[in-house]
Amino acid sequence: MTEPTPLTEEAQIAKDALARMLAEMEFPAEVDASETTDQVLLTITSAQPLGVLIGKNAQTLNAIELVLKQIVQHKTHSYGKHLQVDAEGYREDHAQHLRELAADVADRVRENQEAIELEPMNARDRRTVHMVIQEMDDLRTYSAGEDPYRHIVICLPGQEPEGARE
Amino acid sequence: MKGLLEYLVTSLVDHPEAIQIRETEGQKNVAYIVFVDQEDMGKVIGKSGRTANALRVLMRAAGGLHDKAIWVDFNFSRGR
Repeated sequence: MTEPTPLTEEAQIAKDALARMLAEMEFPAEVDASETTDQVLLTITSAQPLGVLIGKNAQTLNAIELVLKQIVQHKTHSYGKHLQVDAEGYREDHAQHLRELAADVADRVRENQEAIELEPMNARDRRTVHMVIQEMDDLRTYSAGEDPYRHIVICLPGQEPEGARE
Repeated sequence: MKGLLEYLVTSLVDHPEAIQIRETEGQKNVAYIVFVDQEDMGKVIGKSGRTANALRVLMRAAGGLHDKAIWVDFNFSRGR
């Protein structure tokens, strides 16, 4: 086995803080950390089902992530890398579902030659959808509305409003 | 559960020594009022209340593990 690369300070802080949170909740679980140049990924594993840590629409997982980000920022005095917390592969499953949804809607846009608005999504989910459509040369995406109603519109080239942000 | 709240708030503020947590426990519910230094209010509330809401969601999840409904509010302690 190769020697694991030591974590950066912020990744170590995030990992320790999550482990401490779970310990304070008296939830028996392990935290694994991995990181790339721009992202820290924390994965929770446990013999127990993790639904309670994920919550409805990942509400609890998102809350854990937000508080961890604040803790890391407070301790390192910098914004740092993207931080993602996952449990039971929820994030990846959800992203895969979004990619499939985006592909289906893309087909309908082509068929009807008309723009389609998606349901409101958070920034992370919008980014996932934008990225799928960006790979399709014949379609465009933009976001419209304000949070929490901000949503993606998939359209044909030329249908984007003037100055629409990607 | 109070330990979790104490840990989280302590990790977010500049004046941890000013933190006081008032706990009122019923049979099936627990209410917490977290007092922090006035300067730290912004840190525990966050932009549009995002941090406070995330803390509430986390505490509710923790409470769910112990069959308790959790209520959390934040206020500032006067004087140092």
